[in-house]
Amino acid sequence: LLYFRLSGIEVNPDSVGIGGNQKRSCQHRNSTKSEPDDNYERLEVKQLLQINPTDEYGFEQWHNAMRMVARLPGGIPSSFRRKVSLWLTLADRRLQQRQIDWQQTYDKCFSEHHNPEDEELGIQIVKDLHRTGCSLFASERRDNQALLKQVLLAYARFNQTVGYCQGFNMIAAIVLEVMEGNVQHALKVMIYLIEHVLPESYFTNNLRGLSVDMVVFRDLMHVKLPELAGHLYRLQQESYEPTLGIYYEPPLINAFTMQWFLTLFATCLPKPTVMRIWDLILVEGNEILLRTGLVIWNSLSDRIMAVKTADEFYSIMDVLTRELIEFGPA
Amino acid sequence: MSYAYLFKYIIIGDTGVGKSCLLLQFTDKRFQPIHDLTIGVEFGARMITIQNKQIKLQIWDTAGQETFRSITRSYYRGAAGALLVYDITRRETFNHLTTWLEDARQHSNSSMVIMLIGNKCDLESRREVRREEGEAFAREHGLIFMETSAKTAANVEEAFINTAQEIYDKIQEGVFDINNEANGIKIGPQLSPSSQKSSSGNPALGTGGGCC
Repeated sequence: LLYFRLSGIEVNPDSVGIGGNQKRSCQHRNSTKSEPDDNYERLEVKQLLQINPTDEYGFEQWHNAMRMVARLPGGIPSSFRRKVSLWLTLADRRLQQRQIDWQQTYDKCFSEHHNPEDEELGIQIVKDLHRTGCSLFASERRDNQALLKQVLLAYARFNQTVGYCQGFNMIAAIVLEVMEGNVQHALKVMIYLIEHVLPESYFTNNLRGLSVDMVVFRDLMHVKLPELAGHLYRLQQESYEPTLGIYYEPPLINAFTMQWFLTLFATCLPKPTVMRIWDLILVEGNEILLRTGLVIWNSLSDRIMAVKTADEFYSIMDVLTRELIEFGPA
Repeated sequence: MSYAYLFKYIIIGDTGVGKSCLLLQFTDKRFQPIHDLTIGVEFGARMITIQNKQIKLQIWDTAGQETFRSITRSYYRGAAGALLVYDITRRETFNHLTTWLEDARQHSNSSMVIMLIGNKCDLESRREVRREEGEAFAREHGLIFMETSAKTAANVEEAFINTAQEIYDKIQEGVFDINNEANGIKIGPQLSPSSQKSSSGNPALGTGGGCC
């Protein structure tokens, strides 16, 4: 698994597509309709719409085209998410492969009838709704919160083993926003993300999948960012307790990387950047989590190299994480 | 910034009892009624003074949901103090204290100072756990006890500072071995005791090895 996750990963920001060009492209997306790449975008949409992603050959062609667009300096134009229904097409495809009877699933997941096992789940979901700060969608209006609740409860009913994990609310809020409030579509994308895109047990079994990724990621840091990884390791080593043979300080990057991975960066980067990364995660797969993590740590590297203790590291990260939310990786 | 000691704290307890709000009230002196969920762990720090000694508190706020337990536990180790928080308006958060306590004791060092906190004491009309019950639990398990309100800031300073005082006293009594950092205590990078007062804002920290 380790080897598999490590193979072929580059730290070059361009390989993730969120490097230097990213800020410029965010501005494009936020600006008015007269985007400089408008023509190109229209052309691409037209071409891509002509590919029929419903049959085997058409889907492969379409998927490859999307992969390429995602790697262009500007990334996937935000309008693609709607016009080409990028996320939904990928989700639909996989649900078809699983031969899921969607009508039946829909009836079960969105049933008005409350099962006794919904009770406790529902209470926790409702409690967390207003604590979903990353997306405007969650806090904007009350009926939006109702939609968010529907999606979260629907997913918990769909997969009772996973149920509801704190952090899903942040993920579902973004999915709902891109799906423009369509709960059915949002559920499909949630299923696709959690069960097919992210590694197994990311949100279950005490987050075992995430723990594996953290170990893999630390190894990856040593390979791709050896100077920084070495520095952080030395700071952690100061907490070595020889009589017990343990480090009482957890690996320093854990506290931050964990949160990035669990929320797919939803809570730590500016929204346009998050969208861009999510496109890549959905199109390319979960390896993008590791790549993005590398890019972020690399961007913070100079300032972290200057700290001399673990405590100084945590103090400066307090500042750096705030800057990340506002400006994204430098 | 220079300090004589650094104490590491953890804040634990059920989800939604107000752990993050207590931390925010203590570090930033403000209350945020809608606080984002804590995913995993979050970090906060503040300088306090005990018996004319500058002490830096490094505080780890943890996610309350059971799923996160195995991850948050790795931060228990090497903590000198713990705030174990329940919500006085929700009985079940009080009922879970034993589990939290066992978990904390099992994964941290034995001399860790634990402060039991009944939070949200501003919501008197919705109270489900009597103050005496909190006191009794604390007495039974050898904890310090306080009721706080992260909203009104009542007792928040005291909760953090009294815990530090207790740790400090234990150092004086020799219960804590300050040379063993696994106890969650670190001696600060100050140059000499006399430089403490004027050292705030001094960027050249960490250069003097003049501890002890």
